[in-house]
Amino acid sequence: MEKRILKLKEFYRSNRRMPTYTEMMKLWGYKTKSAVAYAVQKFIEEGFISKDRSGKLAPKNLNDLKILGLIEAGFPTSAAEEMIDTMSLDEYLVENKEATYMLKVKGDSMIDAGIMQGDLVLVERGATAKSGDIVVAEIDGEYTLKFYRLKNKKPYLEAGNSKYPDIHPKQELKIEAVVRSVIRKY
Amino acid sequence: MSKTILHIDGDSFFASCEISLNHKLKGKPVVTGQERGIATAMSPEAKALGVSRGMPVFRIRKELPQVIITHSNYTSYGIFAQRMYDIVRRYTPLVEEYSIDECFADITLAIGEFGAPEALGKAIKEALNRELGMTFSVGIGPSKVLAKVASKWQKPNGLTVIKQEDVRTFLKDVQIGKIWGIGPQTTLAMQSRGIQTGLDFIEHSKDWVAANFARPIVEIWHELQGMSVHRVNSDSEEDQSSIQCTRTFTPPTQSKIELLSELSKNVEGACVKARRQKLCARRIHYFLKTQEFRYKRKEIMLVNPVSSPADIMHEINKSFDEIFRSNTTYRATGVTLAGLVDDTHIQTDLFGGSRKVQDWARVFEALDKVDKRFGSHTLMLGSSLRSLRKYKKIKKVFRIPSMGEVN
Repeated sequence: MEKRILKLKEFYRSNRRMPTYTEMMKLWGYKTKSAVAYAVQKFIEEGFISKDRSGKLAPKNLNDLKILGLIEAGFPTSAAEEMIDTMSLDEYLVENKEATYMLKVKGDSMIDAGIMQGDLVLVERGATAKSGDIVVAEIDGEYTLKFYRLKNKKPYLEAGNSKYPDIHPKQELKIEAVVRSVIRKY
Repeated sequence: MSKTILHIDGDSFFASCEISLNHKLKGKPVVTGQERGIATAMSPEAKALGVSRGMPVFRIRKELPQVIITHSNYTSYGIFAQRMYDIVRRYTPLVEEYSIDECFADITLAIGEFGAPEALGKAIKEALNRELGMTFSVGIGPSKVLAKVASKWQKPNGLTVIKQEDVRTFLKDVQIGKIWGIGPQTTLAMQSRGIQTGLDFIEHSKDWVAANFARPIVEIWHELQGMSVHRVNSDSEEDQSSIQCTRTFTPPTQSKIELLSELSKNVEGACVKARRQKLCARRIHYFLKTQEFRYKRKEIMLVNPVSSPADIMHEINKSFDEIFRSNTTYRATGVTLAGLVDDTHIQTDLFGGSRKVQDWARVFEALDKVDKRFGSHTLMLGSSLRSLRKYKKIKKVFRIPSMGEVN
């Protein structure tokens, strides 16, 4: 719930208005307006937002939220990047919670992309890959971490290391997941 | 108003979770349950070889050495379950977390935006498949019982919609004993009256069913007709016929004291809800859930309706040993207050039994005021203390399952 309020707050700050139901669907990852309507009703009851007589939404206590839940897992960040004062690592690193998995990196095939042996990558399973994304693809029953590229609309894989050749799949290229973040501890 | 209910059932769920996290297992015969010594779930390939649920591991090893047997990893199964519920919640908030591999959803209001139940069912099924890396069988029908018939209709990876006008066609081919809620005893009783299929059953009149069977069976009769009687029990439902409070704790425990403390906290939670609505309970159900996701349940009937946790814990303590087993690991407890009545209608029994109840009522009235002013759990039963101390420490953590290594 906190995340959803935060998203509302961010939207309000940058757009100077409340989002429409369709925009809230996108903002929150909901697939139906009835699910949005239900959440909005909850937030009205909790006093975060209000609804006027014509049914338009307005912010009410959106700023209270910071104190409610985020400080605990709080972590300072450059204010320019995220328009919030604190954040949780989960929320920073992960976009779609339900589809997120991690993998441990082996080898040096992505070294030029700054991904090293022993790094953890967080991936979003089932996401649609765009050219230039780093993906987990399935080649001959094995997972491999490579750049996803399109040439003349035909997809192929490219390593982040000139030692490795491009991989042009014979059949359909199966993309298992798209990399969203990399974690390394020192 | 007629409803549309969706039921989702994970195909070979535990085995599918293992395969989802280890792609090398894909397409192979996989069985979970090594640590228990019996098969708890089988991949379709293992089923095809003849492995069935409960088959001893040593026998599988001997007769089918090609089968891969894995330890159960309940933590990751729990994460997949949570993700399944949350994905369905993108479409409707009315989701009932029925079991680790099943959930119900009331999609009545969500269908409009998709045009037809099939389209919505397909969207949910594809999202689950894509994001969780495993397949699910989805059933849609005008009631929970029919939604369950539908999800069983085509397995694995099925999507079946039972429309009101097709109910009879479907039920003609469903054995009465395969219907959700009809146990072996009832099946025998039905068969002795010439009922073999679901259709045989709904062709009898309501009066006949009511005269021959108990109320739960009459309810199933309604549900099979396409009249929704069992509501989808999402936590957020306001109009309640029962109040429930359950919690899974980590780490799992074998300790009786820990379990009673967990129950005590759930009882307190349920009682707060009951008192807020000025309700008292005449029946108490409570359960212990084992590490293997088996439920041990107990029901208590009360002479005087209660809404005080101390009274309820007193009753639970009396029967607890009947369901508690030592050397068994438990992962959750829960309590349901049922038979709810308005607390102003409580009668005093002849022997003054409700006197004590009323005294407690005054104590808890004061307690609720304290909680309101200083935050919840400011004051509580001593027996809940242990569980609460633990609870404060383990806030909801977002866990990410590992898919192994990648080159």
